[in-house]
Amino acid sequence: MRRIIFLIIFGLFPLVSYPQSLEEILKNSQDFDNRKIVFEGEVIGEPLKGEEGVWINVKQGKVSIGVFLEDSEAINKIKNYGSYKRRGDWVQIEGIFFNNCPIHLERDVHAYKLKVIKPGFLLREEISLFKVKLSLGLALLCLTLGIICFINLKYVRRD
Amino acid sequence: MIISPEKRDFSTIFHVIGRLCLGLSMFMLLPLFCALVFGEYEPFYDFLIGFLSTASLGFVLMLLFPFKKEIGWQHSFFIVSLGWLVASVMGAIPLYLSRHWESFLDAWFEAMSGFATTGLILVKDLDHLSFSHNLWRHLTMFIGGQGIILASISILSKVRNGSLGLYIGEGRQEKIFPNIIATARFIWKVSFIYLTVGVTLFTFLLSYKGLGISKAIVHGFCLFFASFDTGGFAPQSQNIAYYHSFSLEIATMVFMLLGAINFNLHFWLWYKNKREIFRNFEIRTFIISLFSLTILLFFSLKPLTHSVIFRKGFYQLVSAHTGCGFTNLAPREILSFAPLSLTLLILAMGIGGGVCSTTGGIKLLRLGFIFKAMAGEIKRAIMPHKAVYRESFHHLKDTLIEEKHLKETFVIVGFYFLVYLLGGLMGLFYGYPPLASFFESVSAAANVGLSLGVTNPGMPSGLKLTYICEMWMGRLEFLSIFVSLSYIVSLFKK
Repeated sequence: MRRIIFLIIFGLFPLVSYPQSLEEILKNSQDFDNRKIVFEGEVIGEPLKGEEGVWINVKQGKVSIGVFLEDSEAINKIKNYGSYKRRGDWVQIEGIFFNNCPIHLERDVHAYKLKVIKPGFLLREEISLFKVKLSLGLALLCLTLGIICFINLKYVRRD
Repeated sequence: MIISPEKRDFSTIFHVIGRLCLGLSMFMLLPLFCALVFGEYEPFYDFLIGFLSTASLGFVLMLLFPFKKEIGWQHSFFIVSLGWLVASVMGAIPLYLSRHWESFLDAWFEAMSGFATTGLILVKDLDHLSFSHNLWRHLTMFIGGQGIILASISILSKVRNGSLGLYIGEGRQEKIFPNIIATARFIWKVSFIYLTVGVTLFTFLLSYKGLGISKAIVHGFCLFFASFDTGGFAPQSQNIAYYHSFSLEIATMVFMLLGAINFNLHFWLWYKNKREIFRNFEIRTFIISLFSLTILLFFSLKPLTHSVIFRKGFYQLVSAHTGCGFTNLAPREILSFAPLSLTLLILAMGIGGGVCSTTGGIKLLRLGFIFKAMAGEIKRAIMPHKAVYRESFHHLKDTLIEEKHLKETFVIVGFYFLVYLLGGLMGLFYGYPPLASFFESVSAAANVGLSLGVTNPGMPSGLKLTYICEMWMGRLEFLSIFVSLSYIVSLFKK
């Protein structure tokens, strides 16, 4: 019964292209195997070359998944890839989820539609004043201790 | 009678720990330089604070505790046990400052996991972590893989007299050269040669996949440190699965296997006899063990196709057996493995690789001894009453298995089982399922790093501390820690 309810709830979502939770998809991977899914997430890293296509990695919350795009041109829509300095574009992926992809032998999504929902942006580094002050204080301490240690070692050696 | 340490002994111990801190601070200059090169200014301050505080602690210890006595065995065990704790705490400072770890305990967990070449992680949002912090996470594995103390004794002149104790204290049983300094330098030499080959290969494969050259080099270094030192960290949250590259997976498998081989065997293969690889007892044990586990894993994953079993199952098995902890599975995918497959992975993790390598676990030589002892007992039982029979093994030379070999084996194996069990019981106590509890406990104590999801920032602090202890004990193979504890107990009995 739970399975039927689950299938009704999550199985109907793709029909109306509502984005699904990637965490839920991965948790119930058997139920989504070989099925159309729609999910959203941040594109991270960089595009990676694949045979007859290109890979991107999409992250939603704590989980990520590899998305294979046969149409290599589609990635031209993506301008920002998530990294330390950048928040990646938030994209919506429509494609087929494979628990064990027969082509790539891994768990992946073969996307046929990619839409940028929200563009990414540069992340501004905020250097904490506390860290700067602490560094200066520690530098003075370390230098003083280093000089004392050096003198001490010299003295011990002469002794 | 137990030799109880005196005040002068502690002075020497803390002096050497001070020197160790200075050595560690030097290593922090590498990510500091990386932060400058990549224009990561906030991480630059994280590493500056880490470097300065570690160096300051080193100077303070050296000033307050002069070197009063030559290093003996009792000092060695203290230095090793305490040194690893101090190094992991100081190594956690730059990680904690990055705010990618929820608490200092989490950062300490990650640093201990790195130094002990485990690979269990508590980092949040790894995909947005700076290059320099990622480099430091992976560098800790390289430093720990070589042996933190071993790394220091090869450069610190005052420590040389007690170097044998320090070397053995770090869980290595065999010397390659009669001189420990020469042994330490050989280990560095081997590592640097493989480093050059490994980083070049990984950089090539990654740039072919589409990574920019600078990123490919940083990731190349990270992947080499993680595979050769059987650590298992990766620069991205999906671990090896991020790259979607079968050739990269094969390359990491090769370096995992190289890292799991006894350094002594590397020396023989390079300088003495290449045929040793076919005769070596550890290698034979490894082949038998890997082959048997592969067959069983094949049947436990049977509904999957052969190619999927190889890509997913065999990779996890090699990763578990070599103590690396790399995974090419998607998040939660390992949970879809049958209980039998997970049990086989627990077995592989528990066994580990060669002695005098960077792997954890019981080790192949000891596993071989156990089977030899069992076979010997059966043979003795069916032989004539007066017949004298003794088992031998070939590890670099033909050696008879003596009582002391078996005694040492059963003691260490017993300790490992005890730690695996206690860690598992702690997991059960916190309400995790039995299989996951024992999987995670063995993964921590055998310094592997594969996880069923128990290890995450939200897990109870008590369990985090348990795994930190398991990683620390497993990496040092108990001897140093228990000897140090005995000395501490003896102080109270005075």
